[in-house]
Amino acid sequence: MPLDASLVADFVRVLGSPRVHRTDNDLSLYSRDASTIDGRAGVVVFPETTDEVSAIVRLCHRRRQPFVARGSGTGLAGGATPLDGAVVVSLTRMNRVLSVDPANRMAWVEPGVLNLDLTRGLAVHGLHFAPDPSSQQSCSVGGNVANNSGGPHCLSDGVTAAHVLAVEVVLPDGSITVLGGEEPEPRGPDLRGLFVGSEGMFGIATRICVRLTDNPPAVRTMLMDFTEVRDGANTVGAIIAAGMVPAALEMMDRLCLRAVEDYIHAGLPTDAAVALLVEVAGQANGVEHDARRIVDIARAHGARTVRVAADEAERALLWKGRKTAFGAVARIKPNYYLHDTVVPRRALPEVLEGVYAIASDLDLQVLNVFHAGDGNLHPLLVFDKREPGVMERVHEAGARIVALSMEHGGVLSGEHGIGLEKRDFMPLMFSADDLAAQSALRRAFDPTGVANPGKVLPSPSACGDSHSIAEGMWV
Amino acid sequence: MGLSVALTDFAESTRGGFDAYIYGQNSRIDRHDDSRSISAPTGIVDFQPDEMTVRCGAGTTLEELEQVVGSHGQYVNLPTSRRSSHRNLGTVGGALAVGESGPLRLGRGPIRDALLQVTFADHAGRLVTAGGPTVKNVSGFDLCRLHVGTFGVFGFMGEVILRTRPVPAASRWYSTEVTSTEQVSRLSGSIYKPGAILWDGCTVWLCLEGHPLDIDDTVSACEMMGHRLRPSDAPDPGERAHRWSTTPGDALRLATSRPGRVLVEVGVGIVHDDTAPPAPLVPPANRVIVRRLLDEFNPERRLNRGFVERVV
Repeated sequence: MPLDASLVADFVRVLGSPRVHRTDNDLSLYSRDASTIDGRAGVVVFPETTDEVSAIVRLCHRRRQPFVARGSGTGLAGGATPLDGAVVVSLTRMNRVLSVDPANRMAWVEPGVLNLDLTRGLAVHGLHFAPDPSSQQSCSVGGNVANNSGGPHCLSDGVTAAHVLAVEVVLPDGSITVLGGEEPEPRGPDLRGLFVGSEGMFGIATRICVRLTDNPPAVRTMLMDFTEVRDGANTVGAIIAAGMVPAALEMMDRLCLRAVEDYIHAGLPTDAAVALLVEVAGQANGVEHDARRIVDIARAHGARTVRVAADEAERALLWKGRKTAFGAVARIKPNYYLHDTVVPRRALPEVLEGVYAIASDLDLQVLNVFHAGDGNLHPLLVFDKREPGVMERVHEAGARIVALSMEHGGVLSGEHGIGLEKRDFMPLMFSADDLAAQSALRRAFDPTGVANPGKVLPSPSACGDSHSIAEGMWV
Repeated sequence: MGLSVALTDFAESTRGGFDAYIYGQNSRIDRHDDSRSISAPTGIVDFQPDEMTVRCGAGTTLEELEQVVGSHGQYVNLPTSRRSSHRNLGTVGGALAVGESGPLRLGRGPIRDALLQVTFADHAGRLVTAGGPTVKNVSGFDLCRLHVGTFGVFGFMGEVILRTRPVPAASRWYSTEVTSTEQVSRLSGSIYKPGAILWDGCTVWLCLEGHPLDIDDTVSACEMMGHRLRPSDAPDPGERAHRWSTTPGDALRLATSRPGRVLVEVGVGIVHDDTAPPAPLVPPANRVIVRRLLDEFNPERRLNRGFVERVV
């Protein structure tokens, strides 16, 4: 359905024509996020204030016109992909840090502030924003809120929901409210917690009060390698079973190590089956104690070498290797599909073997680089989409990986969210009554269903609803 | 893991057109009406120390939970009842339903983050599961949030999966005299991840958790700042009649305005006071959302009817 011309005129009246984009090029740029799923934007608007967001949303609500909020567009599940000509509300111009309260360890920021920029700006106070997804150089705090983002350091620090105290929200009817607060226990249900991770379907965050975390006085970063995948996976479980929760516990397999080493030349053990990047952070004595125990555990499980970062530069290099893994794979094949599931840690060895078997069976290459500490797998299928028939095999592999994870007591997503990518897999994890309850929750925030419709929850009529099947989705 | 007989029986017991109430051990709230009261399943169903999760009936006592996870050097962040006159510590479901975090919230986080998955009986007596069994999960909307601090009015918790954490190597309380907010703020800002900081306008009580030598170092650092920390018992916030929530800044101002009479949780904003709290301010739009939630999840208001007004 084409966008109502009078609606666009109203947007221009509110924002001015430079901040309302309708050219084919603009619409194309905003018709997808970082997933493989293509959508179709009707118009892209760039508000700069909460009142402007409210005005835009009111105009949409009045006409029952769907809209989708967008931060940096780094999402991998199609959460910010507009369907059927939806209005894209870009928050990139709302990018100010509004206030910082170091004494009470909190700050108010606009949604377009980039994750890593926020942390860098807080360094002068000895504080940081703990959620650190691999995309942190480009992802926005608003996007982190929408997805309840994680990252390597959420193992010890928790995901975004643990670091958001309050959200100013423009609700789907255009009204403005604050969910949560600087006070710890506002009356009633935790509407803030319900909003975080709602993937843009409960409204648009326009200001966020984030909790700030102390920078640790001591950090020890170690890279240890193993000749068997199972040994590395078992080491992960043993560290946790020993009563330690490292700041981060990441795993990279051989193909990943080789791709990354070609890119950053850090002297990585490219002949290892897997490597573990372990970081312990805190006060000096505790760090020293835990680091020694972790090395002992790793050696007892067959660690071949243990490399301890000698200084901040080496630490940064090791982390660069981990966080640029997804970019480094372009050296192997031009395209990749990054998956995201979580399994119990004890299932890691078996599930990893299963992932390799699936890839082999479908004649695909797979890298595994992931947050081993909390069982959050990221199988990375690499391919050349120009190859005939490869996309069918890639989607088949994805479906089998999801099924494998669920069979081992896992969940559909640890970080990327459901979006469009896994919407129709939700019945693998939730019963009809469970999904009905989630729909009921959504209706309480958005009775008219204009906020990012068609995401997360499978429609009972999805089989016949061609409008909500976007190009690139698994069906 | 399939649904247990206990859970299905529990759901069956909630079906019908009657007003149903669910209670734990009444360690936190008084029984409102004991007609057709329902009890949740009890007992530890599955404990995986190396996964840091424990599955149990919502009626499980905190005493039993502590015994089981504590034997593996872990804890669950569910505070015991603050009513010091009660001999029982409360239940898992009661702690979650009342939703009050303990005084170690500053270091250990809020109670709401302890709940990973809940299976609850809804208003029609159906069993619904929200959340997931793993420590990290963003599959769908986080319906678990609906059940913490809402007195059972959105559904009766039957079984939960909780997050466990390792017990710190050491946990020690100290006290020192501090009489100004500037000094409190400076002290608070100088300590790496304090477990708790409580202040009554005259005295600070400080909980430090971690490696024993690191705690010693922190104590020494505080002394160099001019604060001599003396080993102390933890203060008992339950001695004061009321517990309420405000901003951390306002909490500090309260402590200085009525020294010795108010105990505040620094950096958090919980106030323990004998004076009744001010009426909470709830944005009108939020009330609308909550009423819609009630219409969806408790349309006849028959689940814990007497507590509905506490959440609106």
